[in-house]
Amino acid sequence: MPAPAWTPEGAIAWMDAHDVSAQVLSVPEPSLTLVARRERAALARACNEQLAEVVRSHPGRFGGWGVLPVHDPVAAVRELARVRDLGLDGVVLPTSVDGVYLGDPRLDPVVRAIDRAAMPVLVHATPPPAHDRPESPALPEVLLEFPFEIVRAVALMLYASTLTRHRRFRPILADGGGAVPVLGARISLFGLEAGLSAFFQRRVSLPAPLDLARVLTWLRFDTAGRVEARSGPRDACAGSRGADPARHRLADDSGRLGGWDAPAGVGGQPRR
Amino acid sequence: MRRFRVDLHAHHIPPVYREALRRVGATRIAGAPLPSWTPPAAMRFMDRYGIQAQVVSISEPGVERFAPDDAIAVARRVNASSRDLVDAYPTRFGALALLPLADIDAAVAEIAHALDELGLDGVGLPASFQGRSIGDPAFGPILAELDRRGAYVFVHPAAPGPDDRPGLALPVFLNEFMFDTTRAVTALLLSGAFARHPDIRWQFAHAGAAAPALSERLAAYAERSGGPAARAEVARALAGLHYDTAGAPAPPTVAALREVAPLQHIVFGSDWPFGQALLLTAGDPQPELSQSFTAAERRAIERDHAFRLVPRLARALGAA
Repeated sequence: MPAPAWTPEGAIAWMDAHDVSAQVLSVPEPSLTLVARRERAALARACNEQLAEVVRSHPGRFGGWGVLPVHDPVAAVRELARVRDLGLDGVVLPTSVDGVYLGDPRLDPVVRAIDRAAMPVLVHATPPPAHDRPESPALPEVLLEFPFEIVRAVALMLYASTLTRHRRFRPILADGGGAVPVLGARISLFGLEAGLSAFFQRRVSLPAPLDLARVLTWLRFDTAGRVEARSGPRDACAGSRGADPARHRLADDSGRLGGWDAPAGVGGQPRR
Repeated sequence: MRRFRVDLHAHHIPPVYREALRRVGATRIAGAPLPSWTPPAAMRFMDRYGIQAQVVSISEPGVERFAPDDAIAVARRVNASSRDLVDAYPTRFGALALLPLADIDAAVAEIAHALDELGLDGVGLPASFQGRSIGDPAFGPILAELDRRGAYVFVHPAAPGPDDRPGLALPVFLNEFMFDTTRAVTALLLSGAFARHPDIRWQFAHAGAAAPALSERLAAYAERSGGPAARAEVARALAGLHYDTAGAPAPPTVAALREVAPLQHIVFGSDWPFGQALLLTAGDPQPELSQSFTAAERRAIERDHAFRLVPRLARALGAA
């Protein structure tokens, strides 16, 4: 999908036409895997500086999710400090980078640093590498693989106790959490030690005994992609702080939605 | 306990099939050991959960691991054993045919054999076969034959191979199974297969996985190329499918399903013996359903709706 045109002025005009007071902006591909690994730290730094400049130049209209070179946790932790110094509002994390998913212990240093800083986090799907998805059926990767990616990352975070070990790491899931609201119940069902042990016919120990269904309610969900017409976060997570409309609006990355997944009413072609 | 439920998502592992798997070295299914299965054990399970009858099908890995000729022979033997099972216990079991999908002509021939000569209740299809979606045009002749017969077709996920999924430290059946079903519904929908084969009575496992919840996304995508008519077709096609409750009785899952499907298209499924892990106490197999349905609705889901798909069982139980 070609990157749509974007300018601060265009975004403000769109907001004004849609009763949106402010947008918190992020790059559309937060894994930065569009560029080589050695270039990502510099790209993240440049993106964050430009983002801070946009936020500064239009007070009250923009916030910013900083981006991190997540593939290199040491560099990512360093960039996180700069994101704070730049006064950005939080960070955007990809569901995976180079096949390593959130929840994987290799990314724990990044999660730990975000947790310590108590920074807001938006988790955004990133397409799985072509060699990690079937060729058939041939469908645009954003159609199904994006919602699936969020499920993979959330399942791994639940099973790896990422959210219980980091009490201030409370991601907002983009695109309404993809398929998390409907598959979350299955994930938590099979997450019972008794269930897993019976299935595998051997003793399975999880890092900590958890009520995974309750952990799911700690997540927050945005409304991008018009999930509101179907079973949404409210059903999955009654009582979740994700049901806060103000937060939804702030998390809504509608500026990204210039492509096909901007159905009327969300992106640039509003339905009236 | 009074037996009234009819279970449309249950599996059998007849000795001929277990032996065929053993010959090719397949002893684990989606990462888990092959459970034991016998008709008396299945009936003990049914008695524990108020289930009158099960319609059984072969789960993972179907005929995927067999050479094409071997698959034809295995499917033939499995289907014969299914006929024996239903003959022995006509009020406790129904059975769905296994097809040798690597050979399209042989699969079409096996449909005729299994439905006409053996009198099986329908056909089981995997959501994907050897990495190819069941919605792929290559399987078109099979769907055309099933449509011609107005067959009952149960679509069950297959575990995507290691090249078709990320290498995550999670059981494949947990999420990738669900994605396989969702991709199949999407492929059949967007390729027009549901519209082309209106007489197939489709049932999708696990409440259609994520397809109902993502229907708005699918509709928006269809509308971009096909306009409002394509959007309407997504809703129409999804409303025409049947969905079972196996592994999917939770309120959020049911809420998504009810947005796209009429109540009459929701049927009960236990996923036994694979679903064993989720059944920890005897009695009500899916108590969570009561959070979404009235007692009368539950009874219809857990019994009456099944008879539209398996009329032979309705007659055998005097419910026709």
